[in-house]
Amino acid sequence: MMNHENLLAKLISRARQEACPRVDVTRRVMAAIYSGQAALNPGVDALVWVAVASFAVAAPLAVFAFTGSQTWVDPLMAALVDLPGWLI
Amino acid sequence: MNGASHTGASDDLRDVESCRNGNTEAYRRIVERYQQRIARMMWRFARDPETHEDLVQEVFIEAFQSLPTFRARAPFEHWLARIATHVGYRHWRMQARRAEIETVPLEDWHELTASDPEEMDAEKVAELLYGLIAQLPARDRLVMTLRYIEDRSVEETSRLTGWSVSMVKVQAWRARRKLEKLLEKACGGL
Repeated sequence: MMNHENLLAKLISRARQEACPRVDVTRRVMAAIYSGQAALNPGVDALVWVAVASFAVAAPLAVFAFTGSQTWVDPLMAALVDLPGWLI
Repeated sequence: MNGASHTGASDDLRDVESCRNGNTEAYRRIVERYQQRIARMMWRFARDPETHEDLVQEVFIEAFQSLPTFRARAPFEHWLARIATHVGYRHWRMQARRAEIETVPLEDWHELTASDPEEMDAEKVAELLYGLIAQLPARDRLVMTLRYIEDRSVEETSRLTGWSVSMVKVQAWRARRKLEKLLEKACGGL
C-alpha cells in the first residue's frame, strides 16, 4: 500500500493538471470603477506629506513644552529652599 | 520569451501610468491581460464558480485602488499576485469565521484508495485535495497552496505572504505534516 507522503505527492501533482474555469470580469471591474465604487486611494506620498506637515507643527510645540516644564518648580522644594532664610 | 516579458512589463508600466493620470480605460487592458492568470490563482482559494469570479473581481478592484502605491520595483504581475494572495487569504479567514468549510464525503476517499491518483480525473483529485486542505487553519492552507500546489519557492511564498523566509519554512513543514495526518485519517477511516 502507498504511504501517505507518496499519496499526497501524487494527489498534488495530479491536482495541478486540472483546468481552471475561464472568467471575464472586465465589464464588472470597469463598471465598478466608473460607478465610483472603486476610487484610487491616496498614495503613500500623500500620507507622507500629511505626516511631514503634522511633524512641522508638533515639533516646535514639543520644544516649547519641554523648556517650559524645565522652569517648573515643585512647591515643596521651593518651600524648603526658602526655609533657611525664614529661620534666620 | 525575454523580449515578450519585457514588452509585457513596459505595457504594464505605460498602462499603470496612464491610469494614474486619469485614463481609467487603460485599466481595461490590464484586466484583460491578467485575468486568466489571476483566475487560475484564485481557483485555489474558491472552487465555487460564483465566489471565484467575485474574488477575481475583488483582486482587480483592490489593485486599482492601490495603484498609487505601485512603485515598479518588482514586475506588476508580482505586485498583483500579492494582492490576490491577500484577497484569497482574507476570504478563507472569513469562511473559517462563518464555519462554512465543507468536508469531503467518505465514499470519495474510498475511490482514491482503490485507484492510482494519476489515473483519476484531475478535477476529482483536486476536489479531494482541496477538501482536505480546507480542514487546515487558514495559515496552513495558504502556505500549502503556495508552496506545494502552486510550487512556488520559499522566497516567492515569503514575498507573497509577507512572512519571513524561516517562518515560511517552518509553517510549510508543519502544514505538510498536518495534511499527511489528515490524509492518513481520511484513508484509514474506511
